[in-house]
Amino acid sequence: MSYKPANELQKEAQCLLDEYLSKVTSLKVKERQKIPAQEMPVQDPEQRSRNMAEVALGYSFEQARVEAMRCLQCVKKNCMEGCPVKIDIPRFIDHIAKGEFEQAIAVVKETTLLPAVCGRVCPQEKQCQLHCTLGKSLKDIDKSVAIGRLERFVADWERIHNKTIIPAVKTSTGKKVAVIGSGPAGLVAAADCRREGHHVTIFEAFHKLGGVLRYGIPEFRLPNDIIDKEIETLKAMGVEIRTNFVVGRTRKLTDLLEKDGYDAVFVGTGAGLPIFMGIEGENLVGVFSANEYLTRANLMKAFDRKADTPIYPSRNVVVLGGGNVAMDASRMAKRLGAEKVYIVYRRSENEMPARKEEVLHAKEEGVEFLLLRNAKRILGDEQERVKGIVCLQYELGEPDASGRRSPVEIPGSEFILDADTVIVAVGNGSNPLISQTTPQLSVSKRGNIIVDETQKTSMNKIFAGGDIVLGAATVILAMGEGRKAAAAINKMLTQVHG
Amino acid sequence: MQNQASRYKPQDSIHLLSCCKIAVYTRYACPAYPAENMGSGQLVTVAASLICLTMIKPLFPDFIPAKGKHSSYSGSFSVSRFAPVTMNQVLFKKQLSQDVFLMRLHAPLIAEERQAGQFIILQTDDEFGERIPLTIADADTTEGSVTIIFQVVGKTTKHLATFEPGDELPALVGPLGKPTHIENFGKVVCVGGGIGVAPLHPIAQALKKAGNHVTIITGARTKELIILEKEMQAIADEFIVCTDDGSYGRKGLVTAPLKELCERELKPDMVIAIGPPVMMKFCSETTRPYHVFTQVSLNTIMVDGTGMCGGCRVNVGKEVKFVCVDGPEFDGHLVDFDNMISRLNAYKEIERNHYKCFVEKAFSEKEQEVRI
Ligand SMILES: Cc1cc2nc3c(=O)[nH]c(=O)nc-3n(C[C@H](O)[C@H](O)[C@H](O)COP(=O)(O)OP(=O)(O)OC[C@H]3O[C@@H](n4cnc5c(N)ncnc54)[C@H](O)[C@@H]3O)c2cc1C
Ligand code: FES
Repeated sequence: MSYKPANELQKEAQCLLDEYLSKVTSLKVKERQKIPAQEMPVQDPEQRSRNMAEVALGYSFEQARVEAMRCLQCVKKNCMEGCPVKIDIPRFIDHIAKGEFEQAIAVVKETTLLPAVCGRVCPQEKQCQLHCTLGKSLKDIDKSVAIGRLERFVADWERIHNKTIIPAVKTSTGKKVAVIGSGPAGLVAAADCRREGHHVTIFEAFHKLGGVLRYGIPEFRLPNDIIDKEIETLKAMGVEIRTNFVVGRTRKLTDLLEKDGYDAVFVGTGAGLPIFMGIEGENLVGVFSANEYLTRANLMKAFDRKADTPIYPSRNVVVLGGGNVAMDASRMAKRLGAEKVYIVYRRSENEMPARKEEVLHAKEEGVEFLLLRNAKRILGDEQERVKGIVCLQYELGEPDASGRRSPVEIPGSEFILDADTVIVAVGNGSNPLISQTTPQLSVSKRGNIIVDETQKTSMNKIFAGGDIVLGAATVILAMGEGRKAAAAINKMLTQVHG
Repeated sequence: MQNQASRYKPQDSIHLLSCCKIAVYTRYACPAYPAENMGSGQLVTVAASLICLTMIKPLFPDFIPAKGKHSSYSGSFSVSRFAPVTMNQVLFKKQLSQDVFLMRLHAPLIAEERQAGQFIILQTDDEFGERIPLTIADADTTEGSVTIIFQVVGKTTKHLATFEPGDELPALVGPLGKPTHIENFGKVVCVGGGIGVAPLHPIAQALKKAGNHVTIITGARTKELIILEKEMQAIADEFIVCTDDGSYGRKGLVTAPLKELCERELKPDMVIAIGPPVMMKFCSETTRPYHVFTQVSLNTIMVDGTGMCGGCRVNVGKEVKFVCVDGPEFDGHLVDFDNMISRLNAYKEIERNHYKCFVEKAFSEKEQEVRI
């Protein structure tokens, strides 16, 4: 696909808009099907692989309206089936088509709180867009209505035009809710509990809020301004924020209830335990977990020359893994000056859990994909610094339990890649800090907190949600769980209250 | 617990009215890259922001800023000594030797929770600064303070040393790590090297309190660098000082008296060694043939301090451990010190440059101030 700059895409969209504007309410299915899918304007790949600015620039006004007109407005809203928080997708898209952006964002916000985030990071091609009737009728999922981009468009429109409404907060109930962790699950739980008039305190271990949105997902994919704005809204609602506070260490979980007068606690502490491969050489200098690499680069701003936190100077980087985390790490390495960046992934591209768009962007930026390969051993020099990595080739065998065809090693296929840096991005387990310091809390074998259908844990007044319950999952699922837990907390507190 | 920030501390005359503080932060671009001197076991590197102080005079004609300070200007030039103590405020500062400082920081929650062996992570700038771990040397729950002792070895510690009583640290988190397991082991030898004596102090104290016979060996390069001598002597049943150059106490390394103790008929039941990695390595090697359990306290590179990044990992026996959550204390006979030392040096060059940049900047700053 050749690169088209934003202004060109906008001009094309303008022509289409002129053509369709008069019949926006009376477009036939056939006509809608013919409207060309709108491409997301992006920064030039050459340039962007050397800067931190956001890659996807967002639809122009014209593009958004044209794309929205493609929606068939099905009576049976299949797309909603795919949405974990059940946004009324056709309705908000209809408003965009008509240019009613304020109404559109209102519809989105009926069920989701962080649309500017989700519009950017949700795996839409596996959720709403997978079920899109248009995509199905055109026999190409890439031709589905770009629901995520439209969601992002209205959310950005609201933010840029300062239309963000601070949610109303009911009169104080005198009840106190502690929210542990400020990732998407915590942020949403805090907002929802605060709305009901409870005093809400967010406790965050780091010096900055946002969880993975801040320390993991890079600026070029999710600008910090967006998170800052959400946090401003929370502050404006009167949510109290305590950063540099590690629950379990600075204060025990149970102390919050027993000594500090909180009436309920929501635990949203995320996954946050890097999994290593357990191969030889993994402790050499130059081997990092993606968490470490990305935290240095994002939260600690190591990409900036003003920052004190150092980042390892790399020339040849090998990233192990095929998820969003691997894509982020590889693209970050490119931006930090690496000449060669390889993704080494055990399965084929079809099985990659990463968002399709991220895979595409990584390729455009020059990241090389070595699929059906796996790392076997990392080689070091006499100073214990990485100098290469031994990999094996695989082929796809029978489908495994997850339904994905499992890779089988090809004997004798070893080869060596030159590398000075290896970033391990093969997943995250759940951080045991809370469970270790709260032995009464039931956790699964994998360390995830066990909850009932209302997100309540085995302990009274303590709820949990997000990655700490689900294992490393997604932003939208974490958000959904935060919501559900807040609803249960609010219900519990009114009952006690009244 | 929320209201600590507004607690009044009339007794401390060094508190300054924080609302009169003026700080103009300026940031300097440093030609990026890596640091030095992490060797002493403190992971310390350095900060990118200098704080520059100009423009104050027109507002407060009587206010004479102290020359050469890089932290926010604070002056007790107004009204009251009864200023509120805010979170993370420096309450007290003392220079112990040329490069070693002691600070008491206002952190009531940490003071209440902390136990011997735990550490904090702090930042001297929460935008561009790095997170450095420092062991808690002492705590006072009445005052609501924790004591840190640090050596200037890189940019962040250099910057930290410019903080004065009344100044606030932008970020301080803790207590982190697992506390030392304290019980009556019998005969215990505590070995502290250089600045390692600071974290050793509360442990030795707790061991003594638990009924142990405590022998303390403290060592440093030279006399000037021996810290907390009186405090340690007060705890010890037996006290040995060594300096590398013989300027004080026995001449030589701490491993010599340690070996002698192991050779005694009643050899120690346990050894705790805290100091530079090389010292801990050789203490462990010294005790290994005598099968004396030797505990070391590791101070690796850290980022979050909560087990999230794995940057602090070390090989302990056949396992990989995260120092920030599984440690910082481990069985010295199982720790792969060579790998740990290599990993500590990962960013040496970058950090050396940061340090140089910071010092040069501070210097030219000073010159400028003199010119004004
Ligand atoms: C690099 C990366 C890229 C990703 N990309 C995508 C994507 O494109 N799309 C997508 O949908 N998902 C993506 N994910 C997954 C997604 O970010 C997570 O599923 C989501 O953030 C989980 O939210 P959470 O609120 O449960 O926890 P987190 O976001 O992990 O937040 C937990 C917070 O709790 C804090 N905390 C932990 N322990 C304590 C404690 N004891 N006391 C106080 N605070 C504590 C942590 O510091 C953290 O801030 C990505 C993840 C990573 C790491
Ligand atoms: S410092 Fe990050 S895991 Fe220990």
